[in-house]
Amino acid sequence: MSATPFEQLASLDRRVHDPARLAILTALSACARADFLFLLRITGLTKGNLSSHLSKLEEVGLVEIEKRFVEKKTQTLVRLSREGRGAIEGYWKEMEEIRESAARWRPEGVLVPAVG
Amino acid sequence: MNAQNLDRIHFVTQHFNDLQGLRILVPVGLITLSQGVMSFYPAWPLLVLYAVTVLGSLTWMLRSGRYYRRTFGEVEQRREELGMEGSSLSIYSPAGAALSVRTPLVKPAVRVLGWTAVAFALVFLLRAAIPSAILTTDGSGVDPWVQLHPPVVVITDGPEMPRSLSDLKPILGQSMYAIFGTLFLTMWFLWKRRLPQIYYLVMGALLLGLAVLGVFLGPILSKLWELKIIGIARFFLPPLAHLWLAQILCGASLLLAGLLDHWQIARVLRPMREEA
Repeated sequence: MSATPFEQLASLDRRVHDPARLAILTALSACARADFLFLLRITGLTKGNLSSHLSKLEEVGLVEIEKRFVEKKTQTLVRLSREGRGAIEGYWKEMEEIRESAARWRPEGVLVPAVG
Repeated sequence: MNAQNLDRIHFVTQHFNDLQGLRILVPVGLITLSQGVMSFYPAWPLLVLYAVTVLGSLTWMLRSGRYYRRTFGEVEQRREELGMEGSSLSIYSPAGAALSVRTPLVKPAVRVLGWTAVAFALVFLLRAAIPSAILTTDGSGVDPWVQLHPPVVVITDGPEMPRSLSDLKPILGQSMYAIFGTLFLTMWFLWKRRLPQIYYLVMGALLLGLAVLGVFLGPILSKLWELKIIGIARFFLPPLAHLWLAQILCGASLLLAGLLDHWQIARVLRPMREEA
């Protein structure tokens, strides 16, 4: 028996499913790498929030963070790891499957009224 | 965070470097526009203004990269092997919006230029294939063209070589429409025909429409002349006949496209939020 949409939802990758992390990973999936300022502006997060999310994502191996000096300032560059790219692509595939199974799903024991 | 927001984030990140309209499109548009104004009215105050515009635009082109880097940050675009086009997946949302997860390909600018060249070659071939050519002349007794000062267009039965440099101006103007029109349409198609970029489609269709109108001008004007409604030609002949007007229209289109591209970035990349 296949899983219901609710079971599928419950099994979603929690590392990705958070809205802020989803925004970060979506942005990173569209480029080779982006700097901290760009991620700050595209996600609308505060510096502290973005730092915290990036640290967590780095901890679980979804992103790689590199620091370098540009014009005497530190620039933080972030890229998706191979695992991170797989995770975000897998996440969208799962969401697509959930969408399809939700369209098919009918609650058990509920009678569908006859038309006409 | 809904699907539309994620789609916008994905699109702007993927095309961040191409959407920097203030870098190339706006300065080139300004130069083209001011060139058109100068050609129309070559007085010395305008010459000074033109020189300032060109110098200012070129300086800005060199410095604008820094502005974008400091204001919006930096994105390195993906360069994947040619032909590895990514698949589009639709994500869960009531609207069922589409989101491309993998990013393609070669540098978008290279693709745009490549496809523009192909499209322009097609328009050029179409133009060459039409036997009834419109060329410029100093007037040859065909009344409608006397309405223009100087009279610039005449219908010929077959291809005829221009006699002087000024004879070439309408052809150059119509070629500008073809180049800019195909450039805009190519960008519209390569950017996956997104609704927020519809201005590329509108401007591309208008400019290409003028180029195509130029190709079929002979038969159209002959018909209007026969039908004694040649006065209609007053509306579309000037942009087809005057190079300066073509420069103004193409320059204004570039300027507008650049500003709208920049607005796309500014709309999605929100101002930085302070810590609570």
